Amino acid sequence: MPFIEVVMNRRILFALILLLPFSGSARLQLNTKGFLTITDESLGCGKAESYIFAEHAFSPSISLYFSDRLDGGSRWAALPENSIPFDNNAVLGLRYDKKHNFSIAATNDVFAHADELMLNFYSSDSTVIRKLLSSGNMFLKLNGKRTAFSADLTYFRLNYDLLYGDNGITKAIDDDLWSEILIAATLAKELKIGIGTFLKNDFNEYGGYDFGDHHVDFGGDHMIRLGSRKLYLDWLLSGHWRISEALYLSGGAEGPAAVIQVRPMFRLRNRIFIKAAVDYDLSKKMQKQRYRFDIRKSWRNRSSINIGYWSVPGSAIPRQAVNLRTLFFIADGIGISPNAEVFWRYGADNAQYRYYRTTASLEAIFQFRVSEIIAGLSVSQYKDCLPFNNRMSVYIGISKW
Amino acid sequence: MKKVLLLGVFLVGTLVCTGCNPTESAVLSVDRSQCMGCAKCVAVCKGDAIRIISNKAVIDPTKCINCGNCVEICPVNAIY
Repeated sequence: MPFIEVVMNRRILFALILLLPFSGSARLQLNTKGFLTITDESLGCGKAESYIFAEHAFSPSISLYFSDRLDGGSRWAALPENSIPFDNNAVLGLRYDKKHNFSIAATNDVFAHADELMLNFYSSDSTVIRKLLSSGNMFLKLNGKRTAFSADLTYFRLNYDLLYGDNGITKAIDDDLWSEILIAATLAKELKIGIGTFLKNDFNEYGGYDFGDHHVDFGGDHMIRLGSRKLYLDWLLSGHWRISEALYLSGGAEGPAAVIQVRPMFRLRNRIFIKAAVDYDLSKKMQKQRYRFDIRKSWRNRSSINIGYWSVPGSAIPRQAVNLRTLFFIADGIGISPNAEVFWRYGADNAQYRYYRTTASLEAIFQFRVSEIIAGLSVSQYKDCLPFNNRMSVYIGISKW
Repeated sequence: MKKVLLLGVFLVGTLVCTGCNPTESAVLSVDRSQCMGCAKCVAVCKGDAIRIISNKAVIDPTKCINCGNCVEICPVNAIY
């Protein structure tokens, strides 16, 4: 695949890095953190997260960008973090952005020492170990005065090892094409209509894992003045038709479905915001709902208090949570961020998936010009839960942009 | 004012409907407006069902086995 060769060619990447310091329009972002976590079952596990983004603009409309996300460390004792001890995602992309938007990008996601997965759709009675996930993406958006068209095509190639009992390892490849096409038109009074289709084509020998979702959308985006206050309202009514043999066989929601989304935001005086979100996904076998409610108070120096509640009834994993997120700058360039969340998961057939979790964290933030140092402590306590362990993490990181 | 009243009626209606004891969905979804594209869900997915497209996570409903690992690890609660 050509796009893989471009990413793997070190000389091209090195040339790109050399170009960056000599351009006034170059952009570099670094975000990295190191963790030490202690769980109920282990004395200590190390982990590192790193994200680098670099962009070089050849002209106001054409730019080349590179990003790399590294997430790795020693094996963690508690689910879900123990799934993969190391993975790396590198992206090299070209973006054209003028009257219309266009981008192409290539990615490589390396799974080193990945866990074995029991995946019946590759082959029954076998296990899969993922090795390398490569993708090529093309995105195109054309904006007219009242109309818009977008197409998003992504080709994935997964290289994996297939294990059949004692019969050794077989190298195998899985290819998928994911595509999304949307056409929208703006009507009077901030109303929009649109049609779209989302398709996943699975190029395995057995094509039963193809998926299609065709939809017709009608929505709006309004600002309503109520005296000196403002109400922002986004809403969407959408009719879907979903097609999939595998989804049908697993008892899923194939066929017609309706999606309803309402997102009001009320802006009061003194930088107080009230936000809510209501999502419905309704079909013959599904009545999935989500409700979110947040009150946020912010100050000019970036300090803020956010109190939130969210609930997801009717989902495969019904749950709800109450949380408090705060950030206080107590002096110039020095901030603290105490956060807390109470989470409970309910309604599952399996009793081990009905549990409570409380999480509390405290972060300290030190700003130096365009960089920030973050140091934090996080404690998660589970009750009536077998799959996940109590854990405490200390971490330190730096962000620069 | 009329629009606000209509919105209020709709929200009350949805809250009443939470007690309907609906059947459980077999498909998890991603709220694209919240997803940061951090890809932690890709790494922990037990069904190899999540891909990152245009910096947002997308769940393949034909491969999702509802293990819940993505729900547990998502830092912004974008999966529901």
